[in-house]
Amino acid sequence: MKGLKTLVMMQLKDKLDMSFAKSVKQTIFRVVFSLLKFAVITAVIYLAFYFLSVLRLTSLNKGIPTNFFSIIFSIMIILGIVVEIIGLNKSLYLAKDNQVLLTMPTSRQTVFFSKMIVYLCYEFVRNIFYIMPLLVAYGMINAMPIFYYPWLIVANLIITLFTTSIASLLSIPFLFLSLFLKRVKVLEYLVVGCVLGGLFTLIILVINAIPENIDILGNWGTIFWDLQDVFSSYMSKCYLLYRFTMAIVGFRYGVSNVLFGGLQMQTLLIICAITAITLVATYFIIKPLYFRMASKPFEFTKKSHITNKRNVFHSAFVGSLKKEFIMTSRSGEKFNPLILTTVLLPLAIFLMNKIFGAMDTRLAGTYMSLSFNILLILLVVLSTNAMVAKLYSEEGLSGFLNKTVPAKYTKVLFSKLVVYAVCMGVSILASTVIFSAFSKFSVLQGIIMYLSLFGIYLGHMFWSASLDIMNPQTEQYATTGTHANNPNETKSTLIGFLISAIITFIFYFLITENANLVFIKIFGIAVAYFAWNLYMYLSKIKTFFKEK
Amino acid sequence: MKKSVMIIIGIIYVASIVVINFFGMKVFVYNKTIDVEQIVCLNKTDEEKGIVVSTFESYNGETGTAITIKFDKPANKNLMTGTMLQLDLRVLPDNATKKELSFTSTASDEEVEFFTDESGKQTGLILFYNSTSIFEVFVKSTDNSNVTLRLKIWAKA
Repeated sequence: MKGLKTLVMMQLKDKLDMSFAKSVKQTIFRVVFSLLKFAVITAVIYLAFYFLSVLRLTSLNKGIPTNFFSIIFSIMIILGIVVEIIGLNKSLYLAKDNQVLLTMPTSRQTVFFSKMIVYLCYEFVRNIFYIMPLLVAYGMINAMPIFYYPWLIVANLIITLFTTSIASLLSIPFLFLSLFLKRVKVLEYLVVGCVLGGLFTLIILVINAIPENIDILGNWGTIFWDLQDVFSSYMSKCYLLYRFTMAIVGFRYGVSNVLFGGLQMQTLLIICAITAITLVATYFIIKPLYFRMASKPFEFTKKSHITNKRNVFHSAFVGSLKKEFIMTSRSGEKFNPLILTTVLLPLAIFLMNKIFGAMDTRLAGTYMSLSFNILLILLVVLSTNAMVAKLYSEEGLSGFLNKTVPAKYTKVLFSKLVVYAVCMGVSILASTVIFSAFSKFSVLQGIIMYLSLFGIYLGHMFWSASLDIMNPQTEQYATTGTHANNPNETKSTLIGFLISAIITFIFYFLITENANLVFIKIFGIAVAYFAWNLYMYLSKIKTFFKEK
Repeated sequence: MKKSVMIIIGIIYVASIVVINFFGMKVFVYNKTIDVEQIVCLNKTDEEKGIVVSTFESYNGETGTAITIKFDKPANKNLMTGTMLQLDLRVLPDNATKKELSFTSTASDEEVEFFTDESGKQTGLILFYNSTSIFEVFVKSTDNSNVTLRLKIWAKA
């Protein structure tokens, strides 16, 4: 027990940043900031629900109906389980600290339990800002009784336990599958290809289903009842998910709420039973296998079949580039999201423009559709820079080798960024070609738009990279191999969103003034942003690598 | 990409379609009421059923439709047998908002009755319980246009 407590506290220190507890001032600041963050998220969700309720978009009665809420809630739970499978996989079996923890004078089961408890704590805290705001906003809009709100704390615990238990059971076959795919690269590429092909087919099917004239306001009568049919068929086809939602928020009959009725209590008991059975089953399956599963990712079997390759001499830059490309392509974690984003972004832009094309918009509507194209392209590509914001720290302690490599540091550091820049450059190019074609831009306008978007992307990329240089998280990656709350990733994502919004607003306001000059002005802003960030990046790495 | 980022991008993606639909569409007048302009009688002569359709001209130059029907036996509302005349009417324009019509006549209730269906709507079917002299039927629009069609009908014994 004492060993378990020590292991848990040790790992919690890394996973959850509790450094603020040392100072009263920092603790108060952290608590106030967390409350503010919770309040803002809840307020945004409540506003969305208020809009839906007042306009009676989801129900003829006031409030949000349980069937509609269940769809949103279920999507979030399923998404949460998928992310938890990947997270547990990393935490239980692929974490670098396993190499240390498994050698400690404690049983393997204790290590397993400590990791599960740490992950549960981490997920419970994360769900406070993920699931709880949704439930609180639902309670507020539907005028739930006062005892609903303290119940949500217990509900959060039940949801966390349930999703983590399901994810822990599913992480077992997921580990074997991921290791198998890592060994048989061809199969991995095939799987990624099939997923891409499936998504591509789905998008084509959706595009073919787009009606010739989309007029939500004009056809709202028909659309409303079609939506009600969708909600009803969800209730019958996904009854289990609907019951799960009812177990948390009760029933809603018209405008009245029924909490802790017989069916809800029954469902809660079933959920608790499933959670307990799943956790016990996971333990008994893991028990004989855990040591092997946790140590296997770090074992390297010597290959008996070795092929000789001619040693080709490359320049420092090309050599680094080749190394980065091989490392990125071998890492499914980096390669797959990059490829998916590269391919899916143009498809999503194509689908969106097809839908916009079916609407009979006035001039302001056309300008809005152009602005939304730019917003979505920037949101997606700038969000990928979160990977760049941990690029150098991810190498852990071996990142310091960059200081001793007998080559100019800019060549080595730049080469790490090239793969991302090329992939996103291709994606932005395809997206710009698509949206220029739909918007009937001239070739020159299309080129200027592409250069502007790419310039903004590169500027943000250099800024994200310089974040990592100036605030390295090397220690965290060196110890565990992951970093749940990398501040650089968070900053990069938030600033990316802010830049996307600012550029979109500037574009919309400039185009309403003069539709011809807007491209030149945006290009000017993009060039200035890129140049400034490139200069700052070069200055910072020059300072950091001063000894060279 | 974190799941919260994916969710936010997904929401903005869907919201873009909704925002443009609400704020960017061309302005149309929705639910514009189109009044009835004319009611036309389309009945034709049917010698087999003993129906003769002609036109008449009144003293003020107004023309109208006159229908003469041979009265055989009194109509039976329950069995739908006997002497009955179905007025075949067309409301113009075709996209008039409210096309329901009301029927009144100068004949007595013992002689004729206008059939109403289960929902209480008059269908333009006239049931004759007795032969009649020439009487007038007024077919009126039920919207605010006050368009009336005047018919002269005679159930001849």
